Amino acid sequence: MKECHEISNDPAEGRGQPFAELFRLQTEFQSRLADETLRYLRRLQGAAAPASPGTVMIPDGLTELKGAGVAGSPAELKLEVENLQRVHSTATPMLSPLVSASGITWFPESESTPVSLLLAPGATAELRLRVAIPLQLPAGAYRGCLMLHGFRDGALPVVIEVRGPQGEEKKQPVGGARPKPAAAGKTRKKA
Amino acid sequence: MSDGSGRVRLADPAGGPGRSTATLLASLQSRLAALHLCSGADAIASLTAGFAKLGREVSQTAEGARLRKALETSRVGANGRSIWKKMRLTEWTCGIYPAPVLDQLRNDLALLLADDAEEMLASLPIPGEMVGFEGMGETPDVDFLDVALGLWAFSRELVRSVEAVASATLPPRGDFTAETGNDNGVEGSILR
Repeated sequence: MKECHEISNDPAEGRGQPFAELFRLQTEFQSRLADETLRYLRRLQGAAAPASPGTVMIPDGLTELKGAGVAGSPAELKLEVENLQRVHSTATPMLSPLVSASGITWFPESESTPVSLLLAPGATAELRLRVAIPLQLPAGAYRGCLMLHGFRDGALPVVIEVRGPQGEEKKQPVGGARPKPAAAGKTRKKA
Repeated sequence: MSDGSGRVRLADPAGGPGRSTATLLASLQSRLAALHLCSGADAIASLTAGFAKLGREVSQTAEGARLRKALETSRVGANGRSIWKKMRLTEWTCGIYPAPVLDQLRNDLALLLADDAEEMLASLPIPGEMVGFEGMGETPDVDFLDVALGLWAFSRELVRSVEAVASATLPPRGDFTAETGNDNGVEGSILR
């Protein structure tokens, strides 16, 4: 005698049916297969996308860009940029958050002059970056990097040495700052 | 205040075609040609993924991180993410090649300033290069905040670029011109 199974359209009712789990797995497999196929086709499509020539930044024999200032006054960083490419290049500087050895993360407010450089082929120009040091920022050496926004490679390491206001100066050597237990792990807001 | 100075050079990436008027024209031509070979949805998804990639890069800077944090902690961030999820925009942009939007903007700008553009236009068509295996890499999911920050960074760059290009021939603010060689005064029925 032939055995007959009924399959319900109602998911709640079909839960106990012997084929329900099989159908659920089958549906999931089909859905996943469709997703993965689409993803693979899109990746293939990506390989055929037209290339856009870019730019890389090469630091010129420099290890670190150094700046220093007293809390409450600005520090200044200067960067000379030379365009070795055969067409005009644009350079827009941006500073990363700076971190001290004692664990303080500083989101510096910086102003670049000019805001971005448009360099003709073979031209060299100077960027000045004025970094405002908050009055309440603890003294120390703050490290981060200067990025020329949008370039494929390269960032310039930056260290800004912050000295306390006159009379209460607690100078920490660059790279040798000792952790302060009270300030460790905290992010201070600027004054 | 003390000064810290350094020097960097901007160069072509190793192994690539390099930036020249010819390669930039070829790239632009290929981009335009590629539009005929893909759907509008894919083209926009690729641009969206490109803005998101730019946004991720900008988020690593102090200014970008600050802005991101502000958006993340406000209603904008929560609403943006909900809308993004409900509209299934992550699925739409999933796996798509992120268009290098900033490179494209800068390359187009360089073409506008090239002194041999006319000469190179005469030698078109120039075969363009394809991204190749680099374009087949895994890309992270496109996030609402990444796109927002990418659009912000791109817009700033666009405004600055147009101003920089125009600056050489930009008349001063409040400039005026006076008509010369007519001493007969104002004539006409209205101002009589």
